[in-house]
Amino acid sequence: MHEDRVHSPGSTNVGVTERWVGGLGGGLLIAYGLARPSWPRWLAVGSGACLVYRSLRGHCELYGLLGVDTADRSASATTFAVVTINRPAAEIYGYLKNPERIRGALGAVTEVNRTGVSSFTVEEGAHGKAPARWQVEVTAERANEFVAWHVTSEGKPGHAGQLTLRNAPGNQGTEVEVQLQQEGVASPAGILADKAAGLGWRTKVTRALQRLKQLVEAGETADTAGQSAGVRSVLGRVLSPDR
Amino acid sequence: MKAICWQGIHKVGVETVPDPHLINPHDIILKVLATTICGSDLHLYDGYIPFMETGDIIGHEFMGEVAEAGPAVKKLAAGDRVVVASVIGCGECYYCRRDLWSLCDNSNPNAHLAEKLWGYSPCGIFGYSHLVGGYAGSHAEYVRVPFADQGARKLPDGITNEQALFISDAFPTGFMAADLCGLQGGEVVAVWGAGAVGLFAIKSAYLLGAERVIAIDRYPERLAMAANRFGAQTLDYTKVDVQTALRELTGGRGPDACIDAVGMEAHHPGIEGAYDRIKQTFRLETERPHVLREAILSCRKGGTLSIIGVYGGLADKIPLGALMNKGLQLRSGQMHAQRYLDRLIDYVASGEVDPSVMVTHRMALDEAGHAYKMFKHKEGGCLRVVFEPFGRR
Repeated sequence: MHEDRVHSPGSTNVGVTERWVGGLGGGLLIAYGLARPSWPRWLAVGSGACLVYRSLRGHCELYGLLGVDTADRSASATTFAVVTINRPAAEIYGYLKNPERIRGALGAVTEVNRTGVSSFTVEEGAHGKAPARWQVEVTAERANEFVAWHVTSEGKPGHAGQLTLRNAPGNQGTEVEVQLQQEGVASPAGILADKAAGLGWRTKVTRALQRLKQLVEAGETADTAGQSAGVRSVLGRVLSPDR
Repeated sequence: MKAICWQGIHKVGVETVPDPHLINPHDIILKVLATTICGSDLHLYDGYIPFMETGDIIGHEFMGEVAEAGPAVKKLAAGDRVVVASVIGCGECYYCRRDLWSLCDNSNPNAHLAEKLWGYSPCGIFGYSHLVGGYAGSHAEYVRVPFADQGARKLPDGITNEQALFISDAFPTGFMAADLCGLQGGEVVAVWGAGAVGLFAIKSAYLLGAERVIAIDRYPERLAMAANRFGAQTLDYTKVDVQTALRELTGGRGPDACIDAVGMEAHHPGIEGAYDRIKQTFRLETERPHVLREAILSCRKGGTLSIIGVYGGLADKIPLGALMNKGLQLRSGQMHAQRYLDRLIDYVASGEVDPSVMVTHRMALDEAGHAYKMFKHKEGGCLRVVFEPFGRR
């Protein structure tokens, strides 16, 4: 599974204002550090140097890892993920035409109901909260090649998306690519909050594609939920990656 | 049911846990008739494999009887006696269809963790950390087996449980180690490590055409077994310089192929061993790769290295210059058990190989703590411990 931003990994992802503030702040930290007699001075000098470097370069590695981009606010919420499924495009396209199967791939989604020729409602379960409902309108599609859609939800930013099917080189399966363009500006703080909750768009899309691949290829998703285990530690229960 | 659970570094114990149940349509529930501690289980015991959690049921080498089959299982039914591959493959992805089962795309539910560490994820493995799926292992009375039609094989009546047991992991691992050497006939093969996997590698190298096999270890009983039962020449690395000895034993040319059946916890009595142990203790490297270094330096020019011992992360001071300038071919991987199961069952059924000679100790699940300690320290000539949760059959 490959996932990445539309921007290349080393490209600018820090906004102009943030670069100015960071650069000036970094310079002040360096000056402060050099003026101090004690050893922690080097911590301030090092931190300041990092900020100056980040500002001059315009690229933040942490932002890159988290998928945050403050350089181009309109593009900051573009998500891209791709997976190769070891089946012909027609089989995958046929699979996606079935709402029940889409539900299987979308994990947290509890219901998908067709409301028109090209429209659906999607209900997403939430622990202890009222489920979120989304209206999905298929805006364009070509059999075995692509499906484009638009999603709206009351009180939440919507998104436009496209799933493209391409023959993999040597006809060794089909490359399934998803691009989402979120509407409205997602703040870095908001993206970080999503990340912390494991709900980032990239994570969601990537996991959904992985589930789709498992369902199409193997007929089921790999799962260990509810299996036998001995006594877990408290820390283990919190940190366990598959629970 | 009773199960052996990982409870921390150097701590395993028997706990009463809920019985497993079918989760997916291709699952079976297996009544475990025999399961053994593999050398790679010691990496969990010693705390070198990340993403272990207290309460994890360990064990990945096993055989048993089908207790219940999911609705999509076609080839198996309740009551069938089967051996199960330790690696889990879906049978349908790009890799499984190319017989590269341990690279299965679809059997690791925690693939995202492995991708962070290794770029791409290998398959899921029973009882071998959440990094490779977090599947409950086989040191238990019952175990859930996903994609059972792909990974489990019915056993003919002539094969005993103890003979079948090692077809789950050690035998295919040793066999693949030899297979990766690309033997054409007449080669000299050196095998580091004369545990069960190493011994199976020796036998397999001969089956695949090697003319001479040289086994390297330090335990007299293992070297004796390699020599007497499997026809290998032997070297005790605490008594000879291995590189020099191999050169002398091969007419100055070096072995055509070198098999590393040791992996991340190699012992070495000298400074190099101390260096690795210190770095590994402080997690400055995750491996003690002495065997890998020695194999690279010992192998003849243009030879093949077959790495089948388990490595997990990062190693230091690997002689890449020798690897490159000698034109060595490097082949490796977790074994693709499903590729070899039928062939290995035939070898055992025909009497050509008797894997049960590996069994030195038989114990109940309740003796887990003692069994792991004894296996780790090779006490009492321990080569393999077998647990029989329901007693001898």
